[in-house]
Parts: sequence; C-alpha cells; structure tokens
Amino acid sequence: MSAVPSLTGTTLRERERWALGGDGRLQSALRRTTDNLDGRRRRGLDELEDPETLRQTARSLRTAAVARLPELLGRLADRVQAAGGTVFFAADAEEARAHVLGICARRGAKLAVKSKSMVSEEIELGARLAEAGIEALETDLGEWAQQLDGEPPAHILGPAMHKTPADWVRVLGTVGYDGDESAPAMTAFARRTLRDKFHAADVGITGVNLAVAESGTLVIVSNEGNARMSSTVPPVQIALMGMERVVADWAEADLLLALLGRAGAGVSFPTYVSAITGPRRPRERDGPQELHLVVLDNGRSRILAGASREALNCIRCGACLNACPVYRQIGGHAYGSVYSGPIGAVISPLLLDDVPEAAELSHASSLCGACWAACPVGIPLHELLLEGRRREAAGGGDRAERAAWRAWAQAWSHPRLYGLTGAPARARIPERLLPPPLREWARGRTVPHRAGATFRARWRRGEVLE
Amino acid sequence: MERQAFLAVLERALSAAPPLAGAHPPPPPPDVVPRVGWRPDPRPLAERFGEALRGVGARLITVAELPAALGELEVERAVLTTDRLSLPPAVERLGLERVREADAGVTEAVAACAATGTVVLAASPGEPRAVSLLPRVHVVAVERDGLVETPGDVLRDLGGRYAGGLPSALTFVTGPSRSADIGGELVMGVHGPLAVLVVLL
Amino acid sequence: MRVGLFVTCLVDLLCPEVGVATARLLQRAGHQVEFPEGQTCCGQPAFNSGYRAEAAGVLHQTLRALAATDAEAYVAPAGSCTTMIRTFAAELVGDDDPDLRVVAPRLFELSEFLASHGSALAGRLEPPRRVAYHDSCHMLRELGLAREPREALGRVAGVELADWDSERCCGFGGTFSMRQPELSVAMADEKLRTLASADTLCGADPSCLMHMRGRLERIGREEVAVRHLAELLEEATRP
Ligand code: SF4
Repeated sequence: MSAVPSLTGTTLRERERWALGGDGRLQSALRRTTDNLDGRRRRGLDELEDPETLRQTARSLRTAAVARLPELLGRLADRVQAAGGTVFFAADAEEARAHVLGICARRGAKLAVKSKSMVSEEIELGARLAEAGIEALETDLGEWAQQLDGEPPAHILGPAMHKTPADWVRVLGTVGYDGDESAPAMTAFARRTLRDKFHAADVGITGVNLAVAESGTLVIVSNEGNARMSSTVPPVQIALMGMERVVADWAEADLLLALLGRAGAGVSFPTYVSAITGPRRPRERDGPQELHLVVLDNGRSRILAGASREALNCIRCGACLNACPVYRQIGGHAYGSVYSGPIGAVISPLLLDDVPEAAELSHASSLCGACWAACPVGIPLHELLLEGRRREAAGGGDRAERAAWRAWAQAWSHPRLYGLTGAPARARIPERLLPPPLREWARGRTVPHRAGATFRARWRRGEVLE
Repeated sequence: MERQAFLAVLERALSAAPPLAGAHPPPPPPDVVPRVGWRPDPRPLAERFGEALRGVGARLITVAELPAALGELEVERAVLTTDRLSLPPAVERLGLERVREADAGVTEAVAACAATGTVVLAASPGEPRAVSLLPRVHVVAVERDGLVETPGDVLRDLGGRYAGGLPSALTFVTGPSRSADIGGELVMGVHGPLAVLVVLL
Repeated sequence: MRVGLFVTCLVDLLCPEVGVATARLLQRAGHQVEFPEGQTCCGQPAFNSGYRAEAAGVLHQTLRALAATDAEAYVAPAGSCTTMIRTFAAELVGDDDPDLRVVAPRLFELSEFLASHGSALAGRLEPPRRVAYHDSCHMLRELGLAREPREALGRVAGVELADWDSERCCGFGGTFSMRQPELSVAMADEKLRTLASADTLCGADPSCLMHMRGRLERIGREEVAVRHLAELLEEATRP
C-alpha cells in the first residue's frame, strides 16, 4: 500500500478508498485482530455476575467525575505534589511540549524512552524531541515497529496490528535483526535491543490510564512491561495525562480497571497495573528521582463545554474499534487522526477544530451502534456521532447539501408534493442518467425500482386488503 | 498555564454546558460504588489462585519444588529481597546492585488475588522495583493470609492498608510480561520476566 | 384492534408489496387495518445527516397524520423508522409534542406487535427454505428485538433458520450508502460472504434489504431470494 494519507488535503472517502484499494491484507489483519479482541472481550465480561449493571454504573460514575473535573484535578495535583511530584497544567500541545522539553534540557537528556501514550502521539512529542536533538524511543513493540517504519499507530492496543510477520522482519532488519519470521525470536531481539536503551535513558515518558485523586496516584497499565521499565530505570519520569483521566477514589478505579482489562484485551486484569505515588522515597534504590505529571487540555475543555462531553468518559480501551464494522474495513490510518474508530470519529472533529477536514469524520460510521454496545462505560457513541453531524451541518456544512435537504423537507412536509416527487421511483432509468446520489449507489448495487403503483395508490384503489 | 487559570477554564466550560446529547441519559451515580461481582466460586482460594495463575502463564509451586523449578529455567544467579525463601545451593546469590546480571529475582508480595492470579508488590528500601522486573524469572512469595479473592479487595482497601500514604510504587502483576503485537501471536517475556513462579507460604 | 399502518416512505415508494403483505398479515391476525394517508416519512434521512430542522418538519407531518386516526396501535414494517419515532423523535419535536405522545407509545415494529397480537398466526412455506435472518441495527440495539422476528419465523413450517453473521451491520446506513459507496459495499460483501448456506435472506428493515439485494444482484447472486419478514409470513399464511 502507498504511504498513509494525511488528514489535511484529503476527504474521508478518498482515505477509505486508499484503505480498501489494497490487496486485502489490511482487511484480513483487521478481521483477525478485531475478531480475536472482540471475542475475548465477550468472554472476559462473562466472568462477571452482572456486567450490564456494572457498565451502567461505570457510565454514571464517569459522568459524575467529569462533571467535577476542576475539584478532582485540584485534589490530584495537591496529593501528587505532597508525595514529591510536580504537576504542570498544559492548555495546549505547545505548552505540554515546551514543558517536557524544559525538563529534558535541565537534565541534559539525550535519550528518552517512551511507553505507549496516546497523548504523546496527540501532541506530536516525538518529532519535537527529535528536533531538539533528543532521541525519543518507543518501547511498546507495536509502537516501536511503527516508529521504525515511519507510520503512526493504527490501533489503541495493537499499533502495528496490520503488519504481517514479513513486515516485522523487514522493519526490525533496519536495526540489525537478521533472523526469521518467528515471533519469539523477534521478541527476544527487541527485548535485548530495548533493554540497553532503557538503561541508557535519561528520561522515561509514560501515559496515565487513570489518576486517583484520593491518594495522588498515577495508574499505568501495560502488558509488555515497558511502562514499569520507564517508571523504574530512568532517573526522571514524565507522565502525560489527558485531563479527563482523573477518578475520585480507589473504588472507582477498581471498577474501571476491571472493565478496562476485559474490554480492551479481554483479560480479567491487565498483566501489569502500576500505581505510582510520587518519585522514589529516601533510601529506595530505584524508581525515578523526579516525577513530573503533565495534565493536558488541548481542546478537551471544548468537549467539556458541549453536548458531547460524555466522550470524556472514555477510558481508551479500544473495544469500540474492535466492534466497529467500519474500522474493520478501513483500519486506523484512514481516519487520518491519532484517535481512530468510533471514539476517534467523535473526538477528532472537536479536538482538531482548526482542521476543516476533521469535521466530516463523524460520517465514518453507519450509526449501527455496535460501538455503544461494546463500550465498557456505555458511551452512546452512535448518538455522539449524530451530534457531530448536527454540529457540522449547523456550522454551515455543504451548501448544496443543505439546499437539497431544505427542498426535500419542503416537499415531504406535504403529502401531495411527496407523492409527486416519489412517484418516478417506478421508472427504470439508465445508470448514466441517474442523479448524483443514485449514481454513487449504482457503483456497487443495482438501483431499486418499484413494481407497479405506490402503496398509497393501491390503498386508494382498494387493492390492499383481502 | 497556571493551575488556577486552567481550572477556571474548566469551571466556565461546565457552567455553560448544555444537556448531554442523545436519547439515553446516564443514570445518577450510586452513593456507594458497588463491588465488581464475580460469578460465585465455592472452591478454596488457594485452588482458584493456582488455576488463575496457570491461566495467565504463571505457576504456583511449593517451597520444596523451587530448586527443581529454578533448575528447569536454567537459573544460575539470583537476587533476593526476602528471607521467607532461600536459594538452592546451585544458584549463586548476587547483591542487589547486580540485579541486571541476575537470571531470577526473588521477592515477597504484600497480597495476592485468587480470582485473577495477581500478586501485589510494594516498593520500599528493602524491595527495589527492579528485582521483580529485570531478571527473566520472577519468584514471589505470598503469605497465605495475604490471599484475597479479587483485585478489588486490595484496591478498595488501599486507604486502610496504607493510612500514612501509599508506597511510591505498587505493582499488580498478573503473569509474565507478554505481547501479541507480532502477527497476533502471544509471546511471553517482552520487557519484564518471561516466567513467574509463585510460592504460597 | 384498530391498527394504523405506518408504511414508511421506502415501502410506499419502492417496495409497496411489503406494505400490502403487512396489511394483510395484520388483517389475518384479526385486526382492523387503517392507512393514515397524510403520512410521508419519519425524517430519519435528514436526522442522520445532521439536518435536524429539516427532519423535524417532515416528522411533524407524519406524526400529525398518524395521530389524527387515533388508532389503538400503530405498526411499521421497519425497525429503523419505529426507532426514529419511539427513541429519537423527542429530540426533534420535544417529548411533550401532543402528536408524538399519541403515536410513540402505541407504535410497534411488525414482529414486535405480532408477538403479542398475532402469535396465533402460523403457516407453511412450500417448498421449505433455509432462511438467514438479518438483525438490522436499530431494531437489534435500540429496540432489543432479536427474539420476536425469529419466533415469528419459527411458527412457519418449512422455515429453517440458517447460521450466519446476522448481527453485523450490512453497510446501508442511510445516506452513508451513497456518500461512501465503496465502504458501504465492502461492508455488505463481508456480511454476504457468510450467507453460503441460506437460500433466502430475510429481514424486517426494507432499507437494509434493498441494499443487500442490490449487491447480491450486482455480483450475480440472484439465486438468493431477498424477502421482507412480512412477505414470508404473508406467503406462509395465505388462506
Ligand atoms: S469509547 Fe468506550 S469502547 Fe471506545 S475506547 Fe473509549 S471506553 Fe473504550
């Protein structure tokens, strides 16, 4: 496949065509991964007594937490500082990047190891560190492969899920791998290579899955162990967190972790859950000497101020991606944004309000609601997509489209005009003469036409009832 | 940005926020967060723990089985932070400063969860984080008294357990380090241990 | 019972035979069927495209027409349009709209209505069919109707339900199907690939059926009969 298309300068349909126009390998990888994860999610939830009630409870708790964000963030910051950490509130990506860069400069850092963090992708931290002469190395296997390949991640949980073992051999070959397609051999190679980097690193950069205000604790989940490495070995840890990730207390954290592991990777509990409260204490041998928390807004307050603020309840588990029939066809890259799948289609237009191309992402959905059914915190994603479309239309939308809907509404608000405009559906029109929307329909499907009179006409003639 | 200014932006956003979109408004939050209810399982905790550990690719062993298990995993050198377990004569004990050279790290857990096969590690001057992380084998001792049913039993009680403040790092470990990033194939031992041996005392 | 038929625009204009089958079925189940003539469309196409004021205008017309007959129940042969009025309409016209308050609580999707007011309808299809039932998205996830249509089919001798990927979206999605035709068709193909063992594809939403029929015809699989639930039931219960 050709290079991943960028959001700017392309339409959603063009990017979809790009994704669908390959040799089908993307789709078979998507099917394999998403079926596997979605199946595991269902089995994981099956262990619980009443998953549906838990889901609704999680939804109400997240909604309540988001409604008291200022209070919870204030408490979190107090407790993190009391435990010896620093907290920086970044209004936008630039503030966050500058702050991280400042810490690195003060420490004279040359190498930063990163464990998976969507926020770091969102603020394009890697590129900025590289500009400043600091190597920012991804350490999640999938993220690492994507970094080596010059591609953004394609899935929250499986950033390189679309890569075949042969792709992996090619990519790892660029850093000295000369073995075969065996996954264990490649994993062992990665372990050796990245282990040295961890020990050489000046800074560890992590995400934050949940922050517990009650105790000032950052909860970071990983299966590979890179988040543990990043918060154990380097002398400095910088944790990047979207401002919505705060929860009030440990009871809430318990509920969300039980759902996160199951919804995401289909496990009863994630392999590693690290609960970090401040930097290393006196006499401790390891752990970071400095712990810096960066809390990021970057458009989230815009979401908070609107009707779609339930999107801030998201715990980034990836379940909606795995359940989505659209994601299954086009994969993450076609969305053109860091956040893909249904949740990405909801939040990207709001986060990227200065990128006009982002607005139409709410159309990357058939509104089937499979995302809503899969979401462990019950976000009505299909309704938020509708809300996105409403916003897009209200913001001007497409002039011709608006005019067409106006005309339609005028006509179909009157039974007589409705009858006049609907009657021609009987005719068989040659495809090349079809009006534009029907011509698009006819690309892959025969055009329906009515056999005989409309229902209404038959009713009047008394032909309907026996 | 200043904290006050940042939080003020959020206050303003919330005060002007319209009703939530959609036809399915969330229910009001419960007064008490309910426990995560697992399907009831009448078996003894230790039995469930063993089964859960197997399920996540770890092993529950006895003290007597430890030498053979270490032998199987070709452990020659180990670091140790607990006096509840001892190393067999065939295994050389390294000082904590040499943890990077060790094949195995032997530590003690503060709690364990039967339903998930989770062991809970607390960092302290005597329990450095690296011992359970860097070596390819992690051996962890768990007191029978420390065995509870689910992670929630530990998580919801952290305030009570650590009234003076949480340790700098609490780590919930459920099986060996793993990844399925390469071709969807599950491989153990990425950045952390590839084998986890749990000894119930 | 006096039942008002909400036939939907698609059935009226493109597949009236589904409306005829629905009316006759209701009649055979012992109901008095009426057709409120002023009805047009539930407004869903515009609603789903983000044009709410436009959707509301059309919806108002239909609600007014339906409410005017003051039927004891309303029945639609379309899960999606039923959902539009029962679940989403309040966002457009307000939940205190007098017409909505008449119609919404009495509106049922066909199989849902038959489950309580037509369960005596039984019949036989000759020759027997292997039927793949399609769970349309709104009907399954918003209305929670999965058992009812299958039970209606189960009362027909000669129907064997086939296993397939019944719950995945077919890719219709309203204007989605014309706005992003390549994707819409790819979604249909994925679903239709699992149809192998069935000779009949059946569903309770005419729009999905139109999309899947169009695709099956285009790829030369006309041997699969595409029938609305109402049509199969009507055929099976002919006196
Ligand atoms: S929206 Fe829901 S399903 Fe999707 S990533 Fe967020 S929490 Fe998971």
